[in-house]
Amino acid sequence: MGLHSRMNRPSVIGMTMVVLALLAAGWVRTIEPTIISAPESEGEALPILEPMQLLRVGGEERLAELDILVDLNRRVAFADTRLDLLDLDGCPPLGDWIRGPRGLAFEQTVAALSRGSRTEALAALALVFQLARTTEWAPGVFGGAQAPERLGGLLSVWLDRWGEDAMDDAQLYEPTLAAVLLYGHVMNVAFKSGMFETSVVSRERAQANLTRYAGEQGERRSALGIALNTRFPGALASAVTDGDLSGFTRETELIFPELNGECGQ
Amino acid sequence: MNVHVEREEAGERSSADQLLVACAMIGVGGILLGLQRQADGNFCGTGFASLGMGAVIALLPMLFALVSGSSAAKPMLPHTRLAALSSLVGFAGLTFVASGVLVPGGPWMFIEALILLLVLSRRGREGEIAGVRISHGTVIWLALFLFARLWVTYQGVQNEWAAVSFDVPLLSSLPWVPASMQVVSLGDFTAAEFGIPAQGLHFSHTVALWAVGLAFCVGGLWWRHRAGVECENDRVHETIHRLPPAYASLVELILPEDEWRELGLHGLNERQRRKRLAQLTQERVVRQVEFNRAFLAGRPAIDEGSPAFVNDIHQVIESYSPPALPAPSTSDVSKP
Repeated sequence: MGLHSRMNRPSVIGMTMVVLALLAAGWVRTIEPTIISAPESEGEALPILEPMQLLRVGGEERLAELDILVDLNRRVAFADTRLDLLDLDGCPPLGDWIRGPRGLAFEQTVAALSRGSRTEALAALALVFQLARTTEWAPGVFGGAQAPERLGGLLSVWLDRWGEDAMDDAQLYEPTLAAVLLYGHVMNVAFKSGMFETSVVSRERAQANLTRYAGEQGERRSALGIALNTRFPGALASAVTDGDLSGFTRETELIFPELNGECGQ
Repeated sequence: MNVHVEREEAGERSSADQLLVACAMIGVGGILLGLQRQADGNFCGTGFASLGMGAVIALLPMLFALVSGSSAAKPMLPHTRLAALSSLVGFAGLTFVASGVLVPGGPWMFIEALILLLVLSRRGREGEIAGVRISHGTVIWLALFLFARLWVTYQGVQNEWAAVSFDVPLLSSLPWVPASMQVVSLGDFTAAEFGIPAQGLHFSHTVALWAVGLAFCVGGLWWRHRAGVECENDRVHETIHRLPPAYASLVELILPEDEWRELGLHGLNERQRRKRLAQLTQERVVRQVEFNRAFLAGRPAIDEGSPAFVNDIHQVIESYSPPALPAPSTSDVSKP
């Protein structure tokens, strides 16, 4: 019998393994990439239907729906703050308003809600968006970066708490992406704080925060980073790599044209 | 002595085992080259486009080998199940290597494939890689394509969808100039063309996968080639050692092992191998007899002032001591 016609058991096993490896080499090429989409609500009815409506123009009409969903301890504060925002007219400067008694109460309420349940977190974010819509925070020709920085700070605190956790929540997923978008835009406004000056620290802070939210320090992105990269790839890449926040401004101008720092005017 | 017994006594792995390990390496390399790691940590495949193009490119050197004049370069006919599997794995391995260096899709892949086909079809200084004759220029092109693939993948991971982008001087510093006029991009591509998932790639892990996969494939191909040659040599050795030991020693003396492949003893079945061995032995013996006859017929005297080369050859020839030849009337060994 010839040398290589003898097939002992280990050889047969080895050949089988090789064939399986070849088949596996073909099979692995069929593995589809994970599709990134908003999480499903797993059959439960969401407490808030269409949560993005709360952040868009007209959202103030639905803010009252949240009253009964906010914890009893914070319900009154939330209702008061909501009504304060509804009463705002004439597009007051954000910097002035937020230093006043109603502004301070607003900040306290937003902070308390942000530490609460997911629905309360959504309520807090809706309040911040409403504030951004009804106050003036664009610096103008000779303005400074303080007002947009203050607004950016509110968004940043909210994102620090909820940014990553919201990615598996059907109710908070889209609002969180919107919050990052607005944060990038607001900080870009802070950076271009006037015709003749720029606030480099604002840009650097925004770059650092966005890099942290996206999990770009390591190569493995965070869930929020993956969602952002799927939704706003160019804006995120420019911000993280070059500190260029203009992509967020362009996206915001498309999605929330009224959030221009001048009450949509 | 049986080749298996000899190797076992020496504590060595048999050539068949080596061939299996080499094939397994290629298989594992193919798996690694077919994977990429997404930014979310999951794995996804690299698709079939580049694999198919790699197969086309791997086919070309095999076709050249088929039409090649040299018997040593021609592919061997597999006569055992292991040899058949090895041939299949060899082709798959070349396919994996080619698909590993090509960009995974889009017009770029066709341009690269066209260049490779042109380079492979040119005659040039050739070397042998994994049993396939490939010119040095082709190796350089393969390395360039691998670099290009890694570069564009890196660009894609950075969300830069062009091979090269640079700012236009002056225009890029003017804020009112549209962004599209501030930057010039060359070699645009899309994520879909290059199989980059929407959430991005984990670049370092993906490159590590591909690098290890390529190393396994290239190393496996090299090992498979060497083990394949050794397997064939073992088969020839076994055939020769079916002769009585004294004859087997003589045959191995006039047909040294390192010439077996060049002499066309590989890739034959047992019957063909026996015939070829008999034919080659006869040719070598006839040559030996002719040399002896010429040697005994007389050598020229060498002058004192002959060149060194002549002296060297003279010394070698004079050191030869031929056996006594039978009477030259026997005509049975004189015909080739």
